[in-house]
Amino acid sequence: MTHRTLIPIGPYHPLQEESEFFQLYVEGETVVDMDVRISYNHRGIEGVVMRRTWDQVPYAVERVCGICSGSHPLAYVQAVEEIAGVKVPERALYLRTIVNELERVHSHLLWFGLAGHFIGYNTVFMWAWRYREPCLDALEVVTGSRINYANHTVGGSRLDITPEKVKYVHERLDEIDRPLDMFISTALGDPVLSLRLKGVGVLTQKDARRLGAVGPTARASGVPIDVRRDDPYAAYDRVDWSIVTRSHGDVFDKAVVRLLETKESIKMLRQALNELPEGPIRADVKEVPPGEGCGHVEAPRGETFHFVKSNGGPGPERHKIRAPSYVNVPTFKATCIGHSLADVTITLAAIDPCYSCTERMLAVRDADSGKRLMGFNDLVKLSQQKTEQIRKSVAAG
Amino acid sequence: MAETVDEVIRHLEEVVGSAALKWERPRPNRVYFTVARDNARETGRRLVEDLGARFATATGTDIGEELEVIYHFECDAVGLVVNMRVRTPKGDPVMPSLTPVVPPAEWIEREINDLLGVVFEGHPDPRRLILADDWPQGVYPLRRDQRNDA
Repeated sequence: MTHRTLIPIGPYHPLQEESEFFQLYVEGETVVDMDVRISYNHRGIEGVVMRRTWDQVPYAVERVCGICSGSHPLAYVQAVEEIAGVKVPERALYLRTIVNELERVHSHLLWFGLAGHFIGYNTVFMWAWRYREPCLDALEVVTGSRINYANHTVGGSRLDITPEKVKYVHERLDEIDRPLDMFISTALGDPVLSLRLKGVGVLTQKDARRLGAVGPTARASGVPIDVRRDDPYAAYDRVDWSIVTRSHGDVFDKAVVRLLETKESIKMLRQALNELPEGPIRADVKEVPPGEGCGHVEAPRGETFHFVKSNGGPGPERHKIRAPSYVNVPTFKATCIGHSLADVTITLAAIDPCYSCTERMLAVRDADSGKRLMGFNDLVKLSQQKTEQIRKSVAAG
Repeated sequence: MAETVDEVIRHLEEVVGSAALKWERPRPNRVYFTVARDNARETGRRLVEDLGARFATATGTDIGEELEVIYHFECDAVGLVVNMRVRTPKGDPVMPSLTPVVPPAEWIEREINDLLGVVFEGHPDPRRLILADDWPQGVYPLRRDQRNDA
């Protein structure tokens, strides 16, 4: 009988962000079953916001996630604007697009760097993060903060943007644009990267639809959904861009989708900055009548969905938040089982799971003795070694 | 020729049929309807299989005498959000689970069970999702009769 080993990954996510707990059952090097536990960092935000006023809630919900701190408030304010029937001024719609696309650029670059690290491309890690910095600088100039922008308010935007700031953002985008082209041509052309990532962690189109996957995770599997196009908000129906899809659903395609999307984001940003209409940035919202509203936004990782219920009071009676990882994480079961342990780290990282980010811990233990066999670094090393082997065999011709 | 929102809604009305007790369309691409709890699973299955809708999530709310679960589905091709409302009395907080026919409902039903105490009959894996293992039994944080100092 094959010896079955339990590998707990967590309760802190081994790769990037916050606490979750994967229990992998492996036979030899092959993953045969897994279970996921989440909510080690449940902060009860849905409960908290029921005791806040309409205009306080955006500040609470942007703390759902540091990286999506533009997407969550936007989904919320759109739900409230739906209930109150608010017409948001044109200029504010453009400002919202600018903030959210800058957010996507920095988020995708962050992911690209981490993905590089996990397969042993540490140069990619350094470079991607180096070129993420200008994007954060641009966000700081536009909103006053690198994260937690506090820029979306019910009825519009909090902070306006001056012509000097428009020029500054253009210059920062110039800094990102060329390196990004280099990343894309390198990633698409590198034989080692292709061998390492193609066919790994495949999420089929059927599984993506069945499990309700969203964002780049779905688009890399040939499911062409994107809230920005399907139910346009902000200024997405006013700028020219195209949705990026791929068909294989492997880690390689997920990386390609994110890289090409970053390029589209920069294209959108340029247009939004150039065509920024004049006018007010906020509509006056006196009260929110009783009613229900759904707001959804294409966050970097996929659709974030907010449902808000008003009873005519000073704040939401109920506010439901569904982040994209909530539906993307369960796809692991479809992508990891039957695959090798060396591929698990990058497969788990490929959907860009988002929790909130603190420490990392991982240990591989023998299921019978409980003896520690492997730590997080060992797993990353395993993944990096596989890349190294491929690299050597490619070099040997 | 792609379908328009109105065509999708007509299709939706056919798919749901007489199971819907009440229709609302507060905005052109937001639809709400109510179904009796016994019809919830079959209607959910039809929304996914016949209409091709994507399951987004569900919202559980304590509305006084009853607990309400709104299942949110989306028809991405036309940007339509379809909300299916199911209610159950607090004294008998049971409703059929959608998970056997709508797999992505698995986590959210576990979460609603944790936070509001709705029991989803037929759920394949009704363990706790959100609350800690040592959280007391029968204490539901989002029930309004529950004291909460947040």
